[in-house]
Amino acid sequence: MNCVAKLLLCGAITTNVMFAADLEIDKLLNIISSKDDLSEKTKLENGGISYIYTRDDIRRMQAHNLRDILKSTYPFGYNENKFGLADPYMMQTSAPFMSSNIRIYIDDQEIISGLYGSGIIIYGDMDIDFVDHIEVYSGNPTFEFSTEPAFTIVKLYSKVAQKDSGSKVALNVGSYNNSYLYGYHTQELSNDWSYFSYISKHNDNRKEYTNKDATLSRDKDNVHLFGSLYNNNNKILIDLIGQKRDSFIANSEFATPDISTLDGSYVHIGYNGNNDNLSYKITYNNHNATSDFVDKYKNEIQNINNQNNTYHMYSIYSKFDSKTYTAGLQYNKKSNQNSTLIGATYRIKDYVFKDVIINDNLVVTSSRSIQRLLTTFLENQYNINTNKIITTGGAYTTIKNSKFSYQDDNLLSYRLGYTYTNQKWVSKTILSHIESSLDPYLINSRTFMANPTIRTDITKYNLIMQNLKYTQDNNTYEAIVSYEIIKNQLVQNNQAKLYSYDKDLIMRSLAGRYLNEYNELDKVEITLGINHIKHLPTVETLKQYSMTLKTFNHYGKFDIFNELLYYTDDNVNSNFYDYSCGVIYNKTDDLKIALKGTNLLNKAKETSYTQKSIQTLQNEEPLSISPIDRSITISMEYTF
Amino acid sequence: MKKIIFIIFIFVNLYATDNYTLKLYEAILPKIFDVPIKVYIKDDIKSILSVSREFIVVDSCDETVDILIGKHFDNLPESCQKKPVFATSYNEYKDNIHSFGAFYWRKGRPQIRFNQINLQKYNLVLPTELQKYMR
Repeated sequence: MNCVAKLLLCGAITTNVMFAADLEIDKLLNIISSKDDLSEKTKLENGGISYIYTRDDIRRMQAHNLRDILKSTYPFGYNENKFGLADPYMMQTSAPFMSSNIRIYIDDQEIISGLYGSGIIIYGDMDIDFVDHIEVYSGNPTFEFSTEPAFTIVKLYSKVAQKDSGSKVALNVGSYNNSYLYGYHTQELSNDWSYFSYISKHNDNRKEYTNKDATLSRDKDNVHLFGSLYNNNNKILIDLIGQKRDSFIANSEFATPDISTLDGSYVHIGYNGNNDNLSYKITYNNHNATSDFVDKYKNEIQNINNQNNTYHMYSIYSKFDSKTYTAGLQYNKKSNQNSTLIGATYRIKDYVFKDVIINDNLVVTSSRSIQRLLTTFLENQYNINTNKIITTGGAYTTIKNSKFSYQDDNLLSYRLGYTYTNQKWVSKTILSHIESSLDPYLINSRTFMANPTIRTDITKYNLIMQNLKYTQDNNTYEAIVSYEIIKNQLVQNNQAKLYSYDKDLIMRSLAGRYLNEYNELDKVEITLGINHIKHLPTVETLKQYSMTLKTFNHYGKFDIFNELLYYTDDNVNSNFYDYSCGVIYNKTDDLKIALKGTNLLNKAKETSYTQKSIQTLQNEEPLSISPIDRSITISMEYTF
Repeated sequence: MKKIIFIIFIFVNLYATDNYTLKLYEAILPKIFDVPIKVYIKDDIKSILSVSREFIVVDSCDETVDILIGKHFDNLPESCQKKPVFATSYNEYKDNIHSFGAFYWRKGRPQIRFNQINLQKYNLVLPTELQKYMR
């Protein structure tokens, strides 16, 4: 044995002996609490570009709302539209929701809105204290969960009795009289079943803005009940949400709402199970809401309409009710080198608009439509050897509309991936093609579509992406390079209506991520991103630059978190900084007191909202308002 | 030879830095029982403890086993039914009359517990550093 080998062996033995001697039992418990992570069991190893928030990350970030997580998540971040609804891909449009390609799941069951598509419209700004950990996958990650096309998947995993048995109550109070109370109880039953139950009440009061004497408000009163009953092979979920929201600018062309409300409820009941190689699911979702908008300058707009024979909207009242039924079956066959998944999902969206009154005229008394979707998919993972995997997959969706058959579509999505791993390197190469159709609320919509009665072309996304990850000791370096072409993207015209864009949007992206876990309970994470988008309707090219810096530290009884998000682009020509920090004082094992400041510099990235002048009817300087308020929150939680 | 030594080096270090749960078990049970400890395990922890030199993990329970680790011990042979139990769930710790101690997650954090009455029943002595976990 030569000298190098002897030194290595001595080093290994010494490290091991020192490690065992150094760690006291309380410290070991702290480390296990921080490191023991259920995402190790649930994450999709070959599922595109992944971003995992462990329970320890979520706790130390004091992330009580999904927007706290999404705002720094690659590749989309967090954004809110004119209605104050979570809409990361809003594309500066006036539509109520443009982010259907981001799909959200709780414990493998999809949260969906029958009318608007993705459940991000409901969950994007929801409380997440029932969640254990969060996984985000981008780049057409898998067909396993997708009934409908998904460019990005957000997976929330609820807390389980195996970790959280017992009860917790917590109270948060903060700026703008924001108050949030939640509690949960979870327990393992005498057989192998367990249950988790959660309730929250959130008066999510936000910063208000004044525009031309009108008040713009995004306040929300939210009641949320969540429950699960499960064993190793079966899970039943019930999720009930009731909301009363102020809907911000709403439909106002002039950004001057007088009345602007959106009250609704959401119900999800679902079951998923598996038996050997077979898995199955059945879910029911109901999303309904009543919206009411009256412009502050109603009389002036009426006069304009009368004088010019125009139809500017000064009021709209509408109700909708949407029910979604989903059933799915999958079969997984594994052999030495192949793992093949074949499945089919059938979904019915039954939605109705009622009592639609626009500018004091009853336009619709009741208009019911049914959309049926059948998706079949096949996915195969071929292990060339232990560290080289090829994944291939395709999904075919047929969409039939009972009422608007001109918008019946057939969608094809496919994906080819290659993963290479060794002890230090992970390389993922992904080629994917996704097609998506109009969400039901846009079909035949005279309010939002430029050409409502003719077929709108399906949107096609073509992506090539390369992800490289290198891990050495406690350092992880990651680079993501992607090139994407989007055909027939829905964009907005001068009349604020959507149409299928005739140019190809081209997006080139480069992102880097560095993680240094410099000891068991402390870490620093830096991400950098550059996007270069060509052929936008408003500007020919747009270059976006972003950076995030996060630090997690532990000192004695204190957990400290710092986060800085930086953004600029060559269109806004200014720099945005969202600095947040928090400290948790672990007074006892059961009692914790925490303080958090969000967007403390009040310089977080702003979103541009178009508005017209009531005098000239011409576009005037858009409103620039950040979806992230500057706020301070104090919280206390007690477990028992 | 260099390759073998290098693999040992990597393995030992990965093992040392990653498997904190194993370290915890190795920091507790060898202080109460003579090593190597012969254990019958009914829990996912079985694969973790199997690599340790401090434990001999057996697939079936008999009178030579020192302790049982895990939860839901159904259909044990009679020779095993009164063996001391180190539980891996709160319910098992609370409900099993033979459980002298436990390591489980509860209220969102990992916890260690020892039961004084059952420790005495099996003539087990806790070292000073573990006595604070006795409830």
